[in-house]
Parts: sequence; structure tokens; C-alpha cells
Amino acid sequence: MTDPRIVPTDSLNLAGTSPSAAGVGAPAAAGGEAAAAPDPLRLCIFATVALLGWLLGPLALAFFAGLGVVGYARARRAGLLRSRCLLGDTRLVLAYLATLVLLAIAALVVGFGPWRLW
Amino acid sequence: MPLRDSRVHRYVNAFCPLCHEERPDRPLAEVRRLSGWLAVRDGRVWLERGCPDHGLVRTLYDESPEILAYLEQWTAPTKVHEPDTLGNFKPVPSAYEDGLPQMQTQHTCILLEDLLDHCNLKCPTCFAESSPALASVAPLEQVLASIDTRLSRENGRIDVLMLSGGEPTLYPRLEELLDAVTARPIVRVLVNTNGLRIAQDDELLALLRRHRERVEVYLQYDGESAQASITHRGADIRRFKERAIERLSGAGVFTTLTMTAALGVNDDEIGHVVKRALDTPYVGGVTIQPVFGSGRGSGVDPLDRLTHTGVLARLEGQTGGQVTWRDLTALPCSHPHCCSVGYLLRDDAGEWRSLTSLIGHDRLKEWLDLEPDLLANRIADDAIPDAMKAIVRGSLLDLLSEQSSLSHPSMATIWKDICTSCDLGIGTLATLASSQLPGRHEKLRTLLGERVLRVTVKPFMDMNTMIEERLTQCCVHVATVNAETDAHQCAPFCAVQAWAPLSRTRISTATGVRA
Repeated sequence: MTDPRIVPTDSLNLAGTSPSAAGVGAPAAAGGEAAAAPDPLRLCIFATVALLGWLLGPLALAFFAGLGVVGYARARRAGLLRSRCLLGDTRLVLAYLATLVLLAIAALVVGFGPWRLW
Repeated sequence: MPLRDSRVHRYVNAFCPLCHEERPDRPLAEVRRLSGWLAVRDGRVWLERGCPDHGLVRTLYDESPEILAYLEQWTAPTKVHEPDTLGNFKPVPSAYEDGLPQMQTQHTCILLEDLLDHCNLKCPTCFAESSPALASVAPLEQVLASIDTRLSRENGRIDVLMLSGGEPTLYPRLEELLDAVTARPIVRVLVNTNGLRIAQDDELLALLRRHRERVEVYLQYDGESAQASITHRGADIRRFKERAIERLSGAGVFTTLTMTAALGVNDDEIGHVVKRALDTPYVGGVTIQPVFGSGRGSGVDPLDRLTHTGVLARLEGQTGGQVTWRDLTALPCSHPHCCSVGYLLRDDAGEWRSLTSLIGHDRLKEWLDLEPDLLANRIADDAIPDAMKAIVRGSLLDLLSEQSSLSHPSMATIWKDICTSCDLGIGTLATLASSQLPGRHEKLRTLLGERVLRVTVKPFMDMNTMIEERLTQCCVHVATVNAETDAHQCAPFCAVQAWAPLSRTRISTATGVRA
């Protein structure tokens, strides 16, 4: 158990509104007011993920959701109790990702939605 | 960038309590001094320091930023000290292995001699970890050598010598010791006791009575409830305390009730202890010490505990407005976070009034020269001869100093100086004025015993509240013995209690022999 005297690093900004949290996934950041031109890498990643989703459908969902489950399970074992994800509690995030995996498998087996395996 | 949710009150050097708990015995040279600050957040003062191993470590430092800021107004120049080892510029805390270092900023106001580790109680919150099982007793010759060393470094005079332990009344050669110390230039001798022997032993009471012009008793007294007694002392020993108070009062021995106060245990009994002191002749003082986590006292919640300003804030409600935090000031000679003090005087109408309410905060500061600007702007004061002002200022500094006690020989002068400007009542002033006449000394003692009370709040530091500047300006020094050279020296009280390598150099442990 963590000693209550230790202040978690993700609350070190001490101000309630974490600059990192505010910046996560915010496309506005791509507008870039900083002196150095920001690299809108995320936009490229989002587009590629969307392409894979369109091409591979439930396969892509199963892969990324499975990756998420593994990643969050490891993070939780390492002590991460709260995520910057909107769901907050890492257990909720894990449940959400596991649901996505099941949904993808169901789509592959039963076949529904815009994409069919066979 | 967004604003922080706290305001930095001041920047400090501190220590990591988690590192300390992992290895309390680590060599002092390995203890890291950490950058940190006191931060005001949610109406409380927090001590935050950055530890390379544990990150940001936050603990409660004080409960009221408002009262803490008030205390910080009361600071005065400190006195020059003589280091125990010349050229000792080592950092805190390892510097204290060689006694008072060059970088100490206050001399020894109180020298504390631990006579023995043995005690007839095993208090669950004892910072010295004394117990009946420990039999180590410092030889009388060693204690006197330690005192003489200190005398040689204090210009041949010690203001206050506190005899502690263990339980000092169990010291086998107490009578010889009291005879020897009262023959030396030591102004006051305080015996820091649990009162068990005083409650029962007529010979001991007679000894204290014989020395009562110079010897006072610091009696542990935790309140009226059985819970307070059981928590702090391990058993309900209230009947012994009451009997000890009665016997000391009857013998005319000045006594200070020393209360160990803990949140949720007896923090609601502070008012009771103050009232008990107001009502009892010759109980001339009350000292309230919030419990701290050194020694055996490890049950303190570092995030929610009773603090210096917390005690001050509770006074008004618990004494029905008789004493408020504004009746106390910080001790100007010590670090303002380390001690606050207030004097209450009973006037001829029987009403208790505080020194600050009689004189006024502004005038008190002015007399102490704490506000030079204010002084410079008051042309009317030019009419007061400088010599007179110097006397009054000197008296006030004496009164508001760590070493002051009510049976101090200069008390009559002090009160005369101060009370010329106060409305204490004719009878009081007449008695004070007559104290210089032969045969009136006893009357003055009775007056001080019945009509003056000194209230002190003394928060000691454990590793959760320890900051370096308070150690540097500490003037309550514990007699220690150099581990390598066997030289007598001393070190700040809180440092000795907190760090095991220093604690082992206490005179009782270092020179102790099996009784």
C-alpha cells in the first residue's frame, strides 16, 4: 500500500487541472500556438487507426482492444489505480476494453455490422 | 500555466520521514537534507519536501496559517554561542555528533541533563523510550562535569538546568546533585517528573522544599480524564498526580503542569489544565506539548495531528474566553514556531488578565524593539529616558525568554518595571514595591504563586515536522557525550530525540552504569 504522505506524481501540478491531461488527445493542440511548430503526429495515427478499422473491422477492434487490456493490466499491476482516461479507475478501463474484445469476437463469429469475416 | 492550489509560506530544508522510518539507525552523514517548503493549502500549513527515493512527501506542519504568521512577528536578536568543537561546519544533523556547531544561532537557554534511563513508568508516548527495564544511570561526577563544561561555554552562568531522564526523582544521588548544582551559578533548576514519588515520599518533598528558592518542578499532567492518563502513561494514575500537585502547592514549591496533548485523546482538556493551574497556588505555569513521534511515540497521524497553532486556537473555546491565542506571543529569542508564551495576572478584583492585553501588542513590540519604524515615528517617546526604555526592554526580553520562570530572582524587578504601566491594582503594586524591604520576600513569593501564571505551548519536532532552521536556532540543548573523544557537549533537543545515533550519546546512555 502506498504511504499517504507520498503525493502521486500525476497530481504534482498541485492545481487540479493537469496540463498533460488537458493536452491529451486535444486536436486543438495541433493548431499550435507554441513557437516551435507542433508535430500533429496524433492526427496521422488517428487516420491510420481509422483506415485499419475500415479495412479489418472487428479484427482491428479485437487487436487494439486486446492490446489495451494487456497494457492496462500491466499498468495496474505496477500500481496505476487511476488513468487519465475519462473512465478514471483502471478497473473500469479494463472492463471497457474487455467488452470491446468480446464485441469484436462476437462480430467475427456471428457476423453483424458493416463487415463480415465470411 | 495554471496556478498552484497552494501558497508557499516559506522555503525550508527538511528530511524524509519515510527514509527515516526505513532505517532510523542510519549514520547521520547519510541523512539527506531535502529542499522543501511550507505550503498553505485548504487553511492548513503543510510541510512538503522532495525525496529522491519517495518523491514529494507531504505532512501536516501546523493547523492555522493565520496564527503561525502572527507568531512570526515576534523575533528578536539571538545571543552568541560558543561552539563545542571549533571549526565544526558540518551540515545538520551530522554536525551535532560533535556538539553545538559553528552554525548554531542561539546559545543554551535550557541545559537538559538526562540523569538516568530508568523510569517507574513505561509511557506509550515516551520520547526518551525510558522504562523500568532500563537501569543505566549517569555517574554524578559525569553529570557535574557536563554542567561545568557548559558553564565554561556560557560565560559562567546557566539560566536553566533541567534534570530529566528517565525519572530524575529516582536518581540515587539526587540530594548530592541538588546540593552541588545549587552551589553553582545556575539560576533555576527544574525537575522534570511524573510525580509518582513526590505523591508518596515525604523525604523527597522535604528535599524539594529545602531547595525551593532555586528548584522548581515540571510535573507531567495530562488532564482530568482517565483516557488521557491511560493513553499517555499506560495506566490511570490521576490520583497520584492530584496528590503530587496538592503536596507541592502545600510546600510552596513552584510547579509547572506539563501536558502532553494528542488529537482525539485529550485535546479537549487543554482548558481544564489551564484552569487547574489558575486555581492552584504555586502552580506558576502550564506547558502544553502536542505529542510528537520520536522515541516510543509512533502513533501520531502525520496528516492529521495536534499542532502548535492548533493548541493556541483551542484555548479560547476551552477556557470560556479567559485565555485566547492573542494572549500569547512567540518567544522572541527562539524560533517563532518553537514556543509561544503568555503571562496571566490576577488583579485586585480577582480577574485574570494577560500581559498582552494589559500592555497591548503594539506597545509590547515597541518595547521589544521589534518595530523600529513604529518607535521612530513616536516622538512622544523621546520624553522617556533611554535608560528607562532599556530597562523595560531588558526585563521584557527576560520575561519572554525560554529561561524565565516565576521564582527567578529578577522577577520582582521585572514586574515592577512592567507593571508601572499596567493597571494591576494598588495592592499588587504595593506588594511588589515592598519586596525590596527586609522580610517581605515571602510575601512576594506568595503573590507570584497565587496571582501569576505562565502559559507556554511547546511543540517539539519529529521527522514529519522537522525543519533545519528550527534546529539551528534551538536553545533547548540536551547534554551529550562525544562518541569518539568522550568530551562533554550538547545538541538540540529535537535532534537528539529523533536520530538514534545522537540519542545514544545522551549522557545517561553514554556514561551510564548499571545501578
